Amino acid sequence: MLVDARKIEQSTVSTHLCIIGAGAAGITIARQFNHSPVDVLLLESGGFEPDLATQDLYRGRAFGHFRSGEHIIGTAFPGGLTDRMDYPQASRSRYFGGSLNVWGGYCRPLDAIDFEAREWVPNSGWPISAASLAAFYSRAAAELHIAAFQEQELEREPEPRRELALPGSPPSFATKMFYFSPATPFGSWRRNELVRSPNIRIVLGGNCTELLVDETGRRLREIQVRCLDGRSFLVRAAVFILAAGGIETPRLLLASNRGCPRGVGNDRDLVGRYFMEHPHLPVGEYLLWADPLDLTLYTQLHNPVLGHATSGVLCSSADFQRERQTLNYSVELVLVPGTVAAMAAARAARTDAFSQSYIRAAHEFDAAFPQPGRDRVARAHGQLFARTEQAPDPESRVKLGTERDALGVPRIELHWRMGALDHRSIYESTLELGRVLCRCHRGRVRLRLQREQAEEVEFGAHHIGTTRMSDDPGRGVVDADCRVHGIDNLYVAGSSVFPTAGWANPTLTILALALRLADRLKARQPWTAGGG
Amino acid sequence: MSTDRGGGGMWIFLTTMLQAEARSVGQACLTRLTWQSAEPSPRLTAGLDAASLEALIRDDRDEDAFVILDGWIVSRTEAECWAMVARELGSMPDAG
Repeated sequence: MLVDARKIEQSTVSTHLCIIGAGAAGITIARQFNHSPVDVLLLESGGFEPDLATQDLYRGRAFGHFRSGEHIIGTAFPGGLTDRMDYPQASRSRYFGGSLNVWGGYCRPLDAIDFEAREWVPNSGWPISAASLAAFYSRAAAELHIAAFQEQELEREPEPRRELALPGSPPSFATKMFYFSPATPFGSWRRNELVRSPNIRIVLGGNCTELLVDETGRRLREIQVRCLDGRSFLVRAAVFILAAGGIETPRLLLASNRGCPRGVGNDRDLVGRYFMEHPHLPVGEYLLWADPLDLTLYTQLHNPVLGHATSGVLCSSADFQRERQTLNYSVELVLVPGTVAAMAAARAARTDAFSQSYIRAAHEFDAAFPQPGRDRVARAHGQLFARTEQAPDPESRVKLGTERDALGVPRIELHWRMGALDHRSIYESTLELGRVLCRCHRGRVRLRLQREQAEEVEFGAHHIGTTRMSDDPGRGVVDADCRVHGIDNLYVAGSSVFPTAGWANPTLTILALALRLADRLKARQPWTAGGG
Repeated sequence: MSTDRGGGGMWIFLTTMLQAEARSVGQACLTRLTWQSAEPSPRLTAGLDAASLEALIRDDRDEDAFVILDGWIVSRTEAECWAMVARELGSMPDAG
């Protein structure tokens, strides 16, 4: 069922389950309740298409290690990203489907080590293990129309996609695969199913502006919803899920400070802290003395076995991270033009679907970057582009600013910090890759980094850690079930609950946690509307 | 994404080393360098003579017998070969 918030006449709307935010997490949870006895209200600020006035509600101020990220943001957002101050609104998308409307489809689970409490990473450790999330990762993959990840993932790549075998005992680097979801733009994929649902109300154009607790302070009674045309109403529910993203979720908690002076769920001053991104940066160049075909595994190509595109990246191993006390790290082998053309030529005689898709990609690549004469260099070379983990830092945070948006909600100030461990990890991991290639005579790496260099980096538009998960209310905003500590009926879904970020794009983990939360709530009995 | 930014000479040396993949990399360097220097591009880095190379090796030594030479992560043996070639030539020719 589809409802325009501006046409709601009642002053109070009641439901069983109110989900605030129709992005990756919110839509996924709502779907789990489709055709169930539970009445679901899925509240979305925007409509089915982007509009500037709604997107402007995201505007804020940003400080820190930002660098223009045109290759990520590009034309996907109005105005693009020309200044770091644009980050709060340009790195997000405020309409049905959320920021997955401009998603590249990147899927990858976190590594087991990402869940561990690592003594060299302050504030690390999840209250749940990788193993406990495995079944949810498989279900999340199905939701995104990709194959489930398996231990021997490289065996499912067709010839000639071979791993660049790097020596070491234990090895310090290994290849891992990205799977690319065809479920983009995400909102469009799920829209019709939810619109036809008998028990799910999608309310568009309604902005949650405040969370209101009852007199005990331990229960959320209702939320205030406001529209840009001035209309407003309350939503009462038995259970609320805040699924508004890693910046907006802490903003709403902090701004809801009438019943709770420090904000809802913020007795310990943790809401908004530990903000993490995935630093993206060119770390050097590589030169491989190898058949260029060896690199097809590292190019995004359709995998006919799996039915979707895949691409490999080189990743530092858990053994290396433990030994050198570094954070998790991955690096893409970005090819230079000419190499791709040579690879395509080598495959030209093949007519199978894999080769044909590869050749098409190669031609497109070379057409985009013409460099006459480059193909005489008959070896693989190009740029090393890292996508890395950063350590959780309480001073890297989302705060409320003094300016207010059109609905009267304080805009955010985002202070993104990168620390010494972040920089050392990037440097030492890249250095190790160079050493390994040199030792096995497979190639060389040229560092672009200076030791401990604090440079501006690009980002993944991933907003992580601001309502972190911990069993201890003194160390986290939500518990292992994603329930806000101290508030009985308020849950958070999304990457803001991640205590650490790994290097992998967060979408698959967001969906896995959303499915896990939905399972727990479905077991809840009985459901009564409006706080029963 | 070009690899021809400053220090292209080292890239050519590196190419040479990798092509050689042999113990006699020094000789291979000399042969290859002569061939490369006759080409109009890519250019070589000017001014990296033997003394400069040896200073780089001495000052930018990394652990595990690796050094960072003009950004490239190479073994000390390889780096010393480069210095030897530079000594043979007197200085690095600039083909650009």
